[in-house]
Amino acid sequence: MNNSQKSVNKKKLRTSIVAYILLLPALLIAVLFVYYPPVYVLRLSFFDWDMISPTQTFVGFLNYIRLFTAKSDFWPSLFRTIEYSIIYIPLSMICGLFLASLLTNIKFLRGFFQSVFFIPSVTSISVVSVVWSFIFNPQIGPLNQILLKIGVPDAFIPQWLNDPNLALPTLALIGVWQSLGFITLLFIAGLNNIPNDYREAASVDGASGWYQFWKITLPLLSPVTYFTLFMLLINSFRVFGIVAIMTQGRPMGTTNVLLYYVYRNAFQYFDAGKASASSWIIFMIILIFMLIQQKMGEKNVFYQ
Amino acid sequence: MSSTSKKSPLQLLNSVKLGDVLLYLFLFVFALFIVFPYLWMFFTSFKPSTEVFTTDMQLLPRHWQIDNYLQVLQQKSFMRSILNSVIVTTLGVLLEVSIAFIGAYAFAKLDFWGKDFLFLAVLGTLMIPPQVLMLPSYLLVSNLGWLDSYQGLIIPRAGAAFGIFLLRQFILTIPRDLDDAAQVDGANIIRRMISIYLPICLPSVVTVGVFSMLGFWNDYYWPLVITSDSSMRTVPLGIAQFKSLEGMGNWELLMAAAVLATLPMLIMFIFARKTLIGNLTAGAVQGQ
Repeated sequence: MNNSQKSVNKKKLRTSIVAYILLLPALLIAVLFVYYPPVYVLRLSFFDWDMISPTQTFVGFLNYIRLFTAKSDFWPSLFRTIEYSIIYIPLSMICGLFLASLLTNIKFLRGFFQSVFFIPSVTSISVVSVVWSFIFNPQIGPLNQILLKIGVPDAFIPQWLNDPNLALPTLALIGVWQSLGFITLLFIAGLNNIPNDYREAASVDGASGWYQFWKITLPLLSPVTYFTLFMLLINSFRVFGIVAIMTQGRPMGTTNVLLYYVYRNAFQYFDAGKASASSWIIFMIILIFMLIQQKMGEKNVFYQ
Repeated sequence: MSSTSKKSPLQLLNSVKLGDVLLYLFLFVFALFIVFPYLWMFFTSFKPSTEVFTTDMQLLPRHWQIDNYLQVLQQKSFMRSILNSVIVTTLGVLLEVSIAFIGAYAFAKLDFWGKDFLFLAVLGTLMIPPQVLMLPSYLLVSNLGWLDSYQGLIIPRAGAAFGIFLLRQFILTIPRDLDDAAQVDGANIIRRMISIYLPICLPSVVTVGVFSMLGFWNDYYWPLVITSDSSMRTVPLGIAQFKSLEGMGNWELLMAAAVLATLPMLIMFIFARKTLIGNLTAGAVQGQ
């Protein structure tokens, strides 16, 4: 008995060693480049450091205090990010759900449309930024040319990214354009998970299409809706490339979203402490969203 | 049965519902709106600059010319960024797929201590958004001496958690019999992985490769953070740099460069769209 136990253990030890060797690269990268950075950034957030000199001075919570005081750009950046999400999230969800319900109603060319809507998702953010910069260019961009052609008077021609009131909404629209394909896919998957019997039963009972949508489709779709909502929320806090390439925070700081603010503190002002403190806060915000999303996913298992 | 085939054209037309026509019409217009930036980019890249700087807007070039592409391809820095992207993407995909494959095999077929914990540790990496950690990652790569290097561009981004997840699901469905038989025949673990599992897994491996390729080719943020030397730039950085350097100047050249950057992924998407779209929703709906 004891002997066989030993041999089983010995066998498991051998398998374990093999497994650890096979997993070594994945685990090494995970620990080094994913789990260590948040710890490191937490530590840095309590120090004053210019990223060049060898000395890092411990300053306690000073970096956080500096972030939250009136003069800091942190609050405005957080505000810009929320502003972005207020446009980006509802628009993405409404358009995505609308397109998904149209696409589940057709048979012919469904795959074609799905693929076309998905193309922006396989395009680099730098190409996206460059092309949309051209399209929104106030002078030679095609959008304003079209507006002029259809007779919009000169005074009402929008300046898009040069207009402090329009720049952030414009970026949010581009965000919607890029996410739409994926959101539509998610909603199609959700709609396909709703058994037809429910709607058929409702039809037999004489429920109108609109009533069916509100009382049957939407409630049954809620797991996908919540999942999508939090995914979009996380996306809003990750906006970076489009700002870095298209506006650099301009005009008048109206597109200075959180991650760009962090980037500037780190790589332009070399204020490691402030950049770390703000990184840590964004990190926690996103982690909380992710945990809620995860909990939602567990609770709302798909209706079979 | 036969009566349907004898319908007159007018009757056939009547059987097509007006609602369907409107639905398709709407979808086509919407699709056109989605792809308009691509059309604009593509056609502009063939225009002479006089047609770009005009208030008399036109989608199609009046005089098609390939000159913009020749000019872009003569730019040493842009050619260098294409070369860098090809190197980084090729090596990155190979590395990520290999890491994913051997990791997935271990999780699917081996029984070892700490398996559940390690699986969670690997999947957990999907929860942490890399962009937020740009500063510490930069400092880490800097300490390793990997700034402005291929290993710096590749290794930190080859974590393969999604690939391990996807391939593990697939390898779990493969029966053990084959493996056991080969083991009796004396094939070692590496031979078994390559000669038995790899051929069966090939479609899934390709899927992981496709995702990996998109990640490496399109990424803007990571190369931005860890490269400063212009000779180490990848294509997305090259494009962004192009824009800021040329300013308002040469939109037609910029568009030609953008077409060159987009085309490889677009072609790949056309071939791989089914597997890409299918696995993306499966992964997302399961909550990753």
